[in-house]
Amino acid sequence: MQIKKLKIQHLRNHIDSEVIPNEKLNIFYGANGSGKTTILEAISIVSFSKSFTNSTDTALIQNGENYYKVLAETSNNFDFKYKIEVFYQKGQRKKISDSFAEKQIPKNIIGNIPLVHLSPDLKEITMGSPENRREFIDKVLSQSSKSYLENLINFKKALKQRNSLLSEFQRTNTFDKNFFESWNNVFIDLATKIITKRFEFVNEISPLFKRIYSEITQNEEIVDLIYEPNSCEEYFQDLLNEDNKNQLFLKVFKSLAGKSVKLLPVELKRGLTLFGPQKDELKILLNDALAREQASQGQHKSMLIALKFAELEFLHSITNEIPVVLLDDLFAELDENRILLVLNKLIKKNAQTFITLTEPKFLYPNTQLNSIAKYFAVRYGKLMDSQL
Amino acid sequence: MIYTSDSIEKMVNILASLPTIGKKTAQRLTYHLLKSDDDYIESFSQALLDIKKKVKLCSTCFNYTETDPCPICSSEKRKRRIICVVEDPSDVIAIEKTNEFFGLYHVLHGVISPLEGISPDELKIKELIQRIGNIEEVILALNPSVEGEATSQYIAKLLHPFGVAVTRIAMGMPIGSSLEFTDELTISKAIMSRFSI
Repeated sequence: MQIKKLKIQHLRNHIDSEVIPNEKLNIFYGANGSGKTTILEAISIVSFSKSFTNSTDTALIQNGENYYKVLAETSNNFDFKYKIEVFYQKGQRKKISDSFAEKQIPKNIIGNIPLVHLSPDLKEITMGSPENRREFIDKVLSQSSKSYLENLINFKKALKQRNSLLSEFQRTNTFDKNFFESWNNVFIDLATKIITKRFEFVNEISPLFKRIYSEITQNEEIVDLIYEPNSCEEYFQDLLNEDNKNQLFLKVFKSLAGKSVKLLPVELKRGLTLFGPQKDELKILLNDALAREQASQGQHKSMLIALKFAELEFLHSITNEIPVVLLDDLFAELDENRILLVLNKLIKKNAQTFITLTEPKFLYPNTQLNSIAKYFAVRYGKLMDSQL
Repeated sequence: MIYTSDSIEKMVNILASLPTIGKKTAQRLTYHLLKSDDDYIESFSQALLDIKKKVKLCSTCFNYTETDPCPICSSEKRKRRIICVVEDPSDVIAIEKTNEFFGLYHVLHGVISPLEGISPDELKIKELIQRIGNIEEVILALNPSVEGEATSQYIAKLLHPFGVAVTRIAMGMPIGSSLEFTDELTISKAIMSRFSI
């Protein structure tokens, strides 16, 4: 996937910027607050319909303006031209239009521009709570599978409905079996679809993760990924060894249904759903110990990079497109050796890469890099092509 | 007040309270009405009063009607042993347009949604059960949303003891569209519900 052109209007401090990126490395440099990351955010907006930061759309609009607009033109493996525009005006619904339709909804555009994003903020994936790892899985799978995304959206709705129903039963001290079961069935069905897909995903990505980790660290440490679906503990070993998709589905369904029966009295007491994939964990192991507890800062960084490269290879193998890669301020956190390792790997992969950094100096002497990189100086939300 | 007349402001606000109508459209409509002649306004307001006064729910299928039972329920031509269950009266129109369904309807007036406080009692589900007597098949034609799915499950469970056949409408490729421009989800559902020819 190649972004051929990117237009940004009234996004943070960008008034009206146009980027014509090069096919390989694009390096945006400038002082803090100059608007480098905004360019990566713009790419996230056309890919996911929203920024990777937690900012609201209103907060993304330039001060004193009442809308922002991002437009991208891309071209894929087969030279198919794809265009997308995201427009947000204060107080209105976000308007998305692309080559397929004038009016698009977010779930239809996600995955059209596959994206891998790496920034220091994402260190929570290996260091933080399980929620961060679930979000990681969901974000990758949403890009590679439309049915996963649809199931996930529906699952979240079903979970809310089920919670609301349980809390109503608790409040009124009543219970309607048929009413409950209709929602419980929908909930378990969607939960099963999500869990089985996550199983498949972790099975595919974990060998990639292991291989890439040993490539970048070049040492004897062994990492591993283990998916632990909440509510399947009893059958866990059985599930790990199950290769047949239909059997896996049935087994997960059964264990969720069993859990539901067992937990119902407690759920009714608390008015809350107490099991399901919203509580899943993806364990990251380093030499058989929990990485979250044992790994050093340096090991965490290497694991994050390995995970992100595994994501890249996974998305590539599923979508047949090399994702666009965003590296946000990463180099502030890495030593020079690892930076070159990361860059060389990306160049070998032929991934179109967008990098932000404050100081491009240390890249200057690397002539091999400079022959394939395009540099943009960013100042006060303005872009300047720069020849170094 | 930005308008020079209270009546105009009131009209704009009323129109803007309608679904899909924003403030600007409401304003345009109001000025359009101001310019139209008395006859038009007369019949417009009469039509408004009429839909509220004359239109009621059919006591059998709960579709909107002026005669009870409604023309569909009282028609001799309809097959009286098949009921198609839909969410809203507008769905009846959608299915009638096909000219392919000759059974009866049952309008639920919504779907079960605990979040919005809509329990089965709020819908015309009990009334559906009362109709089952000599019915052979119930077709559930609810929207493929999570709420539609849960409502279908709920009804199917209630109907189970009656031994009546319960079916759901299929999900798949829209006719007249090409595979290339159909979204992946529709295609994957269509593939899942494929049949041999």
